Amino acid sequence: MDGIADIGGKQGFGRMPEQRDNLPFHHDWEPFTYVAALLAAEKGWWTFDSGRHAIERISPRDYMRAGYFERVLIGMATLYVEHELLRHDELEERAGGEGSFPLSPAIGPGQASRRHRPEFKVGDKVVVRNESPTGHSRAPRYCHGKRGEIVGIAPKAHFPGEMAHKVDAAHEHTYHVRFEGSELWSEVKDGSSVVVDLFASYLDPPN
Amino acid sequence: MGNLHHNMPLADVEVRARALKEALEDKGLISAEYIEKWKDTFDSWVPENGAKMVARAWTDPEYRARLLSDAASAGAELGFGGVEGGFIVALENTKELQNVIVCSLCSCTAWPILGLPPEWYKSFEYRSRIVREPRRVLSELGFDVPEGVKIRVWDTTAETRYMVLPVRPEGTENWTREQLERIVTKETLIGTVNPDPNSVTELTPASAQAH
Repeated sequence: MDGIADIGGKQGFGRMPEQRDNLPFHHDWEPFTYVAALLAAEKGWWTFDSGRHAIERISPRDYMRAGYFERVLIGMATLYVEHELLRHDELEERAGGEGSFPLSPAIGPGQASRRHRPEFKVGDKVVVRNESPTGHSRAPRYCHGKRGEIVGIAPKAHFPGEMAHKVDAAHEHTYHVRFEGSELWSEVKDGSSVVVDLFASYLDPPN
Repeated sequence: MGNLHHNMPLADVEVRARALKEALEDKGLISAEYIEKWKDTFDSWVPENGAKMVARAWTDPEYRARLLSDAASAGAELGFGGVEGGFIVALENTKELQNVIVCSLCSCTAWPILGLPPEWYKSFEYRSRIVREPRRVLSELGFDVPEGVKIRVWDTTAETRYMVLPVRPEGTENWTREQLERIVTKETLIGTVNPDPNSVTELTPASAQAH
C-alpha cells in the first residue's frame, strides 16, 4: 500500500537525536508486544507479514504520533480482534471505555504474485514496477520506476502481497537490487548507492 | 490527543498493553512463563554474538570465506541463530566502501546476532534519511566518512537480514580474538560507525530489559 510507513526519502524529519543508547527496550510493557507477535507466529494464527501490514495500516495520524512499540501493540491488538481471539469491546472495557483502544482500519485485498515472473542473474539490469496495490507491499515507493542492477539473489520466500492477507502465498526469489543514489534522488553526487531486497513480482527487465 | 473519530481520549499506552496482556491471559492464550521465556531469548540476542563472528573472520581466513558465502551458517557454527536469522548476508567493508543497514519500512534486523534494534534505528529520522543522505546522517551519528569512501545503504525490505563486516583496524595486528571482539559494537554491525581500537566497549548488561 502507498502508506505512511513507507517513509524512505521523505524530507523534513530533522537531525538524529544527540542522546542515544543501544538498548532495545525502555519500559516494562514493551517486550510483551513482541511476544504477542511471536505467539501468533508460533501458533500459526498469522504471519510476520500480517503483523507488519497491521502496523502499516494504522491511520497515518496515529502512526506518526505513536512510538515504535505502541505501533506494534496497536497492530497486534488489531490482529487478535480480526482473528476473533479477542473482542474489541473487551479490550476497550479493560483500557477505560469506548474509544480508549483504537485499532488499525482494514485495507486490502493485497496483491497476487505474478504467474509469469522474470528470472534474473547477478549483473542483470532491472526496473521496478510502478504499482501501489491496496494491501501489503514491500517495494518502497522511492524505487518505483527506477533502474538498478542485481547484486545478489536470496532464497525463495513467501510473497508478502499474499502472505499478509491470509492467502496461500507463492514462493518467490528476492533480488538484491543496487540503485545509484543519483538514479533515486536528483541531488546525490557522492557515488552513494542503495540496495533494496525486492521480490521477483516487483521487477521487470528494462525495455 | 487522538484520532478525530474517538469519543474519549486514548488510554495510556501502558494501560492498553496491560489490557491486551490480561485479556490474553484470561482466555488462557498466553502465560507469564511464556512471556518470561521470550524475554530470556531477547536477552540472549546481543551484539556480542555478531562481534564474535567478526573477530573470528578477522583472524581465520577460512571462517571469513564461510561468513561471506553464508552468514547464517557461519553464525550457527558459533551457536547463534533463531527468529529473524534464517538468511543473513555479511556485507564486507573495504577501504573504499562503507556498508550501512536500515529497514525503511519497519525495523527488520538480524535479531540473534545484532540484538533487537535500538530506538534510533527505528526512528523516522533514520528510516527516512539514511537512504537519501547517508553521509549527513552518519556525520550526525559521529562518523565523518572520508570523501573517497563510497557509502552503500542496504534496505531490509524482504527476508534477507544483514550484518556489516568492518575492516580490521590498523594497530590491532597483535590483538587476541577476545580483544578484537570488544571493539565490535551494535553500531559497527549496523555500519554507522567503524571499530575504534582506542575505545573498547562495555559488555551489554546481562539484562537489557527495562530499568
